[in-house]
Amino acid sequence: MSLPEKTIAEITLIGTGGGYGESIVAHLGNHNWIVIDSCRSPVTKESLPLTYLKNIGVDVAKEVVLIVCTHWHDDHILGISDVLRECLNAEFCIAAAHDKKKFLQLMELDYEKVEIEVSNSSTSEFQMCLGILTERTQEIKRAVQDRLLKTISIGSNRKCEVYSLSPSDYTLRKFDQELSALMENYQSAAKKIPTGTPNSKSVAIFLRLNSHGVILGADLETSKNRNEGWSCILDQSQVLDRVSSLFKIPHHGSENGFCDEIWNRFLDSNTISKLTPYNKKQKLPQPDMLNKYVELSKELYMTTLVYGDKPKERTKAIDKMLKKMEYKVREVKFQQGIIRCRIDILDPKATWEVEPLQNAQKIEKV
Amino acid sequence: MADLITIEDALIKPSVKTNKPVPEKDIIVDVIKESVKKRLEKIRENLTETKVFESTISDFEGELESPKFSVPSDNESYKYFVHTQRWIGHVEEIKHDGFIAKLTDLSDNTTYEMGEFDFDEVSPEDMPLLTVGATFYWSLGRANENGQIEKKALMRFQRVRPWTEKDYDRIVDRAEDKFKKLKWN
Repeated sequence: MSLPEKTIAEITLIGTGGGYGESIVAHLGNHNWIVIDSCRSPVTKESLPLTYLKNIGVDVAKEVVLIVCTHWHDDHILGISDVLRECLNAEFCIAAAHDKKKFLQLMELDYEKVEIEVSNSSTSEFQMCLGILTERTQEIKRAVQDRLLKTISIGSNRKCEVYSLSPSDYTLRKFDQELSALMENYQSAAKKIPTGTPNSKSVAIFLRLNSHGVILGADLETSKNRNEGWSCILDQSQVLDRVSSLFKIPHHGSENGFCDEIWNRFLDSNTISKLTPYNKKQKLPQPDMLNKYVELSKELYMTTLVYGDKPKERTKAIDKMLKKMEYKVREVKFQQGIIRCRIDILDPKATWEVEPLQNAQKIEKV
Repeated sequence: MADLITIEDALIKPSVKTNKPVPEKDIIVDVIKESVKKRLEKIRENLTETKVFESTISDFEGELESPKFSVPSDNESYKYFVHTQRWIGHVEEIKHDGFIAKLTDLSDNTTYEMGEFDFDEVSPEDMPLLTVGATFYWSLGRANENGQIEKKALMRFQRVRPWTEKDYDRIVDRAEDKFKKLKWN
């Protein structure tokens, strides 16, 4: 694996089977990298984006300039404190509630549960990030709709820009109210705070790479309320000024992440799409959605295939016991795949070169 | 019916003292107890806590399934549970007839598993604790019920000390301290 040239942009999706997570690393020219989310190998516990960057020879301490945490689900945040710790030159960006004090109280409330193994791993990860930022006296950048997070100059009026497309003001105001309810319901020491709601606060990203456009959908979903989710981006975004040719499909290709209008208005007919599957409680993407994405895209890639219906491999005695007692236990398998896409930033006619690595695959119609 | 006790509890339980001649079946039980005791000592010397449970599968399997052990004792019932596999679970979803939980294998913390359980797996005492977000311990093992060895599963929901006002104050103070130190842009 090699480093891209200075004027070559790279958008690489690193993903796993099961619910172990996904991350995107992007080269925006002139050795400037950004990391969006992180996930860990459940076996080695390493942060996968960090491992990838180091493997291709990126000097992470100097060359990573921005870390974005799209939301605090375990499959998007685990290992992000390692990324922050090693990327000394990077700004750190999250979507936080307006009421930051209450937001921190909820985090502390959940963190208090660490000792009794109830707390969310994501809270521990976030706490570690806050510790590093406090130590460095570094600011936390808040992601909101249409905020310019980073500009990289490529020379002679050419530049790459990173924008957050969400969450909307309405979503963040709603988040303040949710925080109070969560604190009320989950202040019992023995209850783990559910992490079901953060998708609506997910930070979708738009990359303006000179003349090319990329939309990275995170886990953002559609909503009946046009003040949030993809509808709000469609109605209110001022920064989406062109059709994009590369799309990270939101929320593992789920039905509630699908937004027809985004495809019609802001994605090219030759769009390259990529996604990470999910195989925890439900299997995503479902075949009908996969077919839909295959039809809409010029090419569709998945980091791994969805599989796994058996318990972990153990001794025969335990296998027999589980079978005899008719327990439904299945392992959420871990497999890693990388989809690397590169394009010449300076050539407006350039198209994406896609390289599926490890277990990543191009998907044909099911 | 007395509660199930662990194998270690069973071993430290004092023997019933009597002037009557000891029946043969009690001698058999004593021999087995002695053998189990030796095994436990050996395991304690050589293995980590986690491996104790793994080792007990093979170490006790033959002996515990021996027909000798099925002879019931008149004087006392030895009840214990030998773990062969343990998980910590977090309830993720409650359905109409059961619940779904994320399971972490306590002897192999790599990939996790998802388990589906019926409500009748949960004891009546634990039912009020069954909510989304609740933590429980789930074990598979072999139980000795009056000399009969049975394969069993045990589920226990976590009970913790409720937080006091002092605890909350401490948490809020910590958040306040962080709030003062952090800079937002």
